[in-house]
Amino acid sequence: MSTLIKDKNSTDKIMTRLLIALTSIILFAVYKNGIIPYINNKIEFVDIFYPLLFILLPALITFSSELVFGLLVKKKRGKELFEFAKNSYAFFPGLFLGLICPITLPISILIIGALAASILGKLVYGGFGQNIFNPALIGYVVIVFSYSLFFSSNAYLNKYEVDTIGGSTPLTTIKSLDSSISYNTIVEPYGNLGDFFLGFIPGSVGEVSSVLCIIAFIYLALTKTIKWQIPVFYIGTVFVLTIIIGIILGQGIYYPLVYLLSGGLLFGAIFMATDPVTSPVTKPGMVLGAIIMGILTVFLRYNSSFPEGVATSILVMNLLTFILDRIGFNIKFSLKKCIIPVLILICIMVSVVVVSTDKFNNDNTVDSKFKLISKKIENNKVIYEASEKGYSSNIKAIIEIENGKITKFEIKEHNESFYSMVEKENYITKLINNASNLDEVDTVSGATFTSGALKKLLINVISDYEKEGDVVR
Amino acid sequence: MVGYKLNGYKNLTKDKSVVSYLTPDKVYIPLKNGSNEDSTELVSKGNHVFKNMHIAHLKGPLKINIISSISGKVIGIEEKTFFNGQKVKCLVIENDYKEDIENNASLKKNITSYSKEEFLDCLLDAGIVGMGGASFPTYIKYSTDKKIKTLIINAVECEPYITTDYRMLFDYTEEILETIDAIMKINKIDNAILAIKKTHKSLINHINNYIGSYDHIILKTVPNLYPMGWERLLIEKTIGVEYDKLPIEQGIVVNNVSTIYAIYEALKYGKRVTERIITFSGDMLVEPVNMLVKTGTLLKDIMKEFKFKKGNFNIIAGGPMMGSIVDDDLVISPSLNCVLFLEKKCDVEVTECIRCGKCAKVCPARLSPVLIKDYLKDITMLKKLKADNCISCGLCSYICPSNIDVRSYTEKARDIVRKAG
Amino acid sequence: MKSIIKENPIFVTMLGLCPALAVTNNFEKAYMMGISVIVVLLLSGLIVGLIKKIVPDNVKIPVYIVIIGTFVTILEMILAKFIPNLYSAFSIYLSLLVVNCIVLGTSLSFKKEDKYLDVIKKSFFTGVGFALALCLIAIIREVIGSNTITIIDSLSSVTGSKIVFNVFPTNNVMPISLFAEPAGAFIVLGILMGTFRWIRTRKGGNNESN
Repeated sequence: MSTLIKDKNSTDKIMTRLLIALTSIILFAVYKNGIIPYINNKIEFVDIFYPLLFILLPALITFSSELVFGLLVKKKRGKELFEFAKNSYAFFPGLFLGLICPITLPISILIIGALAASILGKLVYGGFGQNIFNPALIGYVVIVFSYSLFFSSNAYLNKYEVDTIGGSTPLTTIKSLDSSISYNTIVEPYGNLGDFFLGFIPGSVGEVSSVLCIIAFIYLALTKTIKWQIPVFYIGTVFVLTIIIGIILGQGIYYPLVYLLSGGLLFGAIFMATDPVTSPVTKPGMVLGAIIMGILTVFLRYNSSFPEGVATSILVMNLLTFILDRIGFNIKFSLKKCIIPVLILICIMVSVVVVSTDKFNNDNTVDSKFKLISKKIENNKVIYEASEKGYSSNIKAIIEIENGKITKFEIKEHNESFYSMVEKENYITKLINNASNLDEVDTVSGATFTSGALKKLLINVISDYEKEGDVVR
Repeated sequence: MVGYKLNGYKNLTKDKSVVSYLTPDKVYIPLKNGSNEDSTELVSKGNHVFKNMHIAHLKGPLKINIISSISGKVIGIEEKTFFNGQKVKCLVIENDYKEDIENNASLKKNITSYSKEEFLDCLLDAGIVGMGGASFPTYIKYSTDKKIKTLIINAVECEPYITTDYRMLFDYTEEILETIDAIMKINKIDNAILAIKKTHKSLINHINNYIGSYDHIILKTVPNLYPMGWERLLIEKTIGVEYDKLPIEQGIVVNNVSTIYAIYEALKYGKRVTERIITFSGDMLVEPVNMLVKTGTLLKDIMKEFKFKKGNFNIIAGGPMMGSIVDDDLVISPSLNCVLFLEKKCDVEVTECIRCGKCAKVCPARLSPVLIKDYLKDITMLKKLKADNCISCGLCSYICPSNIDVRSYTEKARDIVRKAG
Repeated sequence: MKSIIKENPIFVTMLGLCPALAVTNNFEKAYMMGISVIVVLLLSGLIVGLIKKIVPDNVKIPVYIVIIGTFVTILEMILAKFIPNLYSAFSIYLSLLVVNCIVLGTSLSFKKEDKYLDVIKKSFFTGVGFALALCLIAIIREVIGSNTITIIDSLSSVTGSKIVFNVFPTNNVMPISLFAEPAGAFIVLGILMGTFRWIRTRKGGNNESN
């Protein structure tokens, strides 16, 4: 028999609170993607409401598919049908999907995504409460992998940003720069850190405004609507790891902040990872899941081709929810049982940091493995002895330049395994003949590093020669 | 901290003085205590009985005596409703209003001078059971060879609406403290702790006037959370001790404060269990009260004394969290502490479980009701989830946003695990 | 006949899923693989039916593998010679037919008492069931995933012409290329399995058999 008094909170209240939290974000999306371009005469008046359509249409679609499901499978009719759809949070997946896609995505693809989110993400599992994965993320993943050209970094810029910023989202910039990261290259093109915080940077429709996300989180956590442990530990782990990586790379405090405030991290952690049906139920499970997500996001951002690792991390955590609950129930916060998992986590974190920064060290040194061993000047001839790092060894060569022409390019020693391919193509002759425009010379396919190293060797020698004033022909 | 703060509704009856209804025409003494129905009647139809007389004896390991609350003639045995909602056999006595009393001979003026054996005999003789709803025969708690280090007096009364213990403690402070002291001396107990909710400020001030003269009785306040009155949680909160099955393993005994007063009356005046204070409250009652009633009184008769608001209501025996719905054939038994009259609400709609985890967050036994619900068919998992630790406090059903009756699942799981051994 | 729906090797008994996922992104590959399986099953069924009475139990598996392997190798060589495009498209999955659970399992399921005609019938219909299942998956994957239906493409080296249909006009609807990739194969397979189970039991909802 149920208790005779009941708590005032109900599912209705939870949904209402989530909607309230999302309202400010939706309004900001309209402002940033509708009003600002209109003010700057990039779009028509009607198009101001396009972001609203973009967000609400998928919500409508997921709601309707839930109605259809209720009609056909659960055999409900009339008012009962409507209650069924309302109580199953049916429009939230669509709403979230609209908020994490780029504004330039064609509506037809968004519809496909919404249908995929609803059908593949929720209904095949049996409807509300039975799904394993976050349905919005399933829809997102389906359309990202199928129509990847619509998700290029340019796609995230609305019409106003294309003209003013023109380029890519902050995370893509970070990814493409690799070694030459500094405040100027990452933050300056978009304004200052304040712009990151307020949300005037390129990104998908709902993700950009960090301050609104944080306010929403405080509201939702105080009213106990969401599982607050998950965002706190997720964002905390990412923050800690990026601080450590930033220190190793010698960057300032802006570095972890940029990482936190760009991309979908805040939005994903607060709204998507805390989806009640797909996240762990036990407290230790929640904390463990959030830390795993944080580690995975940092790992993916540094070591994979995705600029953005949030969607995948959340889906992986959804997969592990079952196991996390089993673990979470067995750990009773007794120190003995905690020690081993904590040590394992720390080891994983350290290794992720090492792997991520190691990549930077390698990149940094590849370019500068050019060593000028000796330089002799005889009459009009300059004799260089230099070495460059090839694929598996250092290549030492002697290059003689006389009156702007390369008279000798002889390899003294090397230990390259693919050198024969370079020889077959007469690459050295090719380099000498094209000495004036070496950047246009292609490397030998099959021996890219080796031929590239030879090319770099020649380029560096020539640039040293040209410092004297003469130009190589 | 596990548990949850509930809206107490205690202000409805807390500060009113106790009224009484001590003149029923007939009483129906239930021949049952807790789950023990193995009774031998000592009188039969046509006998004349005295007030305070033994009329039946319940056998078994939890044996206890049943006392008549009035004097009069036995007119037979009838079935009435017990506080758990089920039917119970009752001995019916017609009141002759003469108030003849059978006296208990072996009284001592100074209640500390009882020996331990005499103390235990007196408790068994007087039919004293746990008056906070547990119905456990009190003498069994003290019949142990282990050294009792601490006595905890449970005056927390965590369920909403109930204020019997509050009034008891307020009106009979000196007597209760004297009894605690006596029990400590008789059983050679080192310390006693009186546990009260920290929000009952006026009660705490009142007690602090008297408690100073007793060195070994300490007043400890506990947070205003439900179910703070649960034995295990209370012991953990007051002295921080954990035990396996029974608190006596760690040398601890927990007693309800109303039970202490019943012990006082038994030791001092030889008065056996014949009446008790009950809270009658709820939103359908015009004037909620605490009322002193005789055991065996039929609720129908008591209800004639009340005025009700218009509308359908449920009668609940016990508190709103753990009580059962009964009809007006309810009879008063020694461990019943509250009768509520709550408005009948139309059925709330039950929706799907959203796995929010709130039930797991508030469970005082630290279970995960949501996981238990998922694994209801799997006995090994239920054992791992410790489903047999459920105490039926009802917080999981209370807090569920989807209005699912989670408690029914955990209780079912508990039964499955216990049956499997 | 029951091998086709009630005991369909892919959707019900769930044997031999490897080729079902790998070669179904293209209708032509699917039906060619289906035909290959039917051929192998039929031929090996012919031989197995003859010798099942005399093979001792403990060497059954190696003996059958040798028989099936022989036929698969012959088939491989024929395909490599006449339809080299298809051969390279199948790559390893043709060789895997030797230990494909369907082929091996069907052969091993025959008892000594079974009649010769039954053996042939069962082999044939198992192969047909497998082929039909493969074609079903392939049609769905190809239509949704790349907006075409390929009937003769690699076989053009034999027939001399290509027949490739576009289902929708290409500039209106773009295909969801996820279905042309392995992930889509799993999704389609799962949904079809669920549908078949629902057809079989006529109870339960749209649940994927996870």
